[in-house]
Amino acid sequence: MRNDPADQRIGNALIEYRTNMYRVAYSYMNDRDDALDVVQESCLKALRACSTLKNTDNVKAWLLRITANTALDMIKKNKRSCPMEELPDRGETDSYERMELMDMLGKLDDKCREVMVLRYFEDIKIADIARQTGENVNTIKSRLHRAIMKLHGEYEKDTEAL
Amino acid sequence: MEMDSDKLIFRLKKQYNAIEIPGELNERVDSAMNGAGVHPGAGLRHGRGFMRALRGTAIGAAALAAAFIGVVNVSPSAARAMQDVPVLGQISEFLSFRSFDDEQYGVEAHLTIPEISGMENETAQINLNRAVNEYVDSLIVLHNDDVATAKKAYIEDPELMEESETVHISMTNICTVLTDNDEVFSMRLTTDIVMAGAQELYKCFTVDKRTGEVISLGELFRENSDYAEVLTGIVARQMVERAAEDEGVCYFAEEEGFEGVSQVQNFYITDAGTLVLCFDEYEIAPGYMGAQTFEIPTEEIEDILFGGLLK
Repeated sequence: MRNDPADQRIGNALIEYRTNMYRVAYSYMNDRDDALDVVQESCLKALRACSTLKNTDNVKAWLLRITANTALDMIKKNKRSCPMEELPDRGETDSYERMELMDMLGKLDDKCREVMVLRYFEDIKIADIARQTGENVNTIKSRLHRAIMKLHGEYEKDTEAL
Repeated sequence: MEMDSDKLIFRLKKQYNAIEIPGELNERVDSAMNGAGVHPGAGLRHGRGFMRALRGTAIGAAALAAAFIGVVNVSPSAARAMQDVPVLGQISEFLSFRSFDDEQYGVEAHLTIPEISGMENETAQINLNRAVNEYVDSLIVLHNDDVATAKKAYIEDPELMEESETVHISMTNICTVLTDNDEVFSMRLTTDIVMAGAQELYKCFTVDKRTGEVISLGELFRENSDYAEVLTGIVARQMVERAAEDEGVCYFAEEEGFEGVSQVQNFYITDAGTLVLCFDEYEIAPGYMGAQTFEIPTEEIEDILFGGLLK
């Protein structure tokens, strides 16, 4: 029986935020099965890393950052074995809209993408993101700004092309 | 330009929140938790007698599942919940679990039903378990309705039967203990219903350990007080504040969304004795906002309080 309070907190958080973890994972993997793998692996990592969770940490931010990093690791691994572009198109039920989201996120570098997802889609406070990434608040803010500028630019390009 | 970016982000966020949650997700999280070093039997080594009571009660036939309500099961999720107390929050009582598993015509339900034992105030325990059971029964009625509807569709169109392995509707639930102290025990059952989209239903239970009564919202306030209106005002104000603080926050306008706090409002009491009101997903805000909770500062309601549970 594990009764460590950090463990309990993580256990609760895994239940509470599992759908958030899945969406973060999916936003990187763009594939249901891969996203499920990422979530499972992230749960294991979180439980193993429970000693790194401090009392003052926002547990959702902590968990989602682990998820994002796990997704990135898996993408790197996949790339080594099979370049993403060559993966067969699974042709699932992805709507046009979903493709826009994935398309846009794909245009961002890893760091911008992370802050974008955590701040705007998962409502994590900038201060909490900064804490988890070990960077200062202004760095995160400017990264967010850069992400938005980039997205906006891409959006303009797309509409002009139409 | 600023505006355009806002709109773009808002649109992307909507798409993000529309990412479908596969029914398998719970299983995968469960299995990760099981794999993290907590093994069946761990409880026995620590002298948890109730583990013994669970042995040999594994249940197979899904078709008969309904008859097994009331039997302790060792389904993976129930076993996980028992070994892995962390998911339940800090509790002084024993929680054991029964499960309801049924799968027919592409409709499945896997419900974990908590049963509290060892509570000092036995009346509190009986009342709480009864309230939980009544609620779970209502979920099972929902499930049976879905099965009946699906069955009818299959009878009308036998070809559908070939695809019956596809799950069209799935229902699972999870129990979280929110507060457990000398006076109050609050817990929440979260039920995930996955159809074309996914929806989470919450049901909170709070028992007053001093009197043994499962309490309703109104019982926290003086008789004849206008508590619903007072709470409505506080929630409405907090909504405006949240929306002003963060542009990503959005609630439905009053006529189609928040109709005010009702007498059957979901709520729980925190360890510090603060009232928290809970709203289901989609109830007062778009889906991407998820389920919403509002903490009610006790000093704002102290004039109408009754019973001393809220501090």
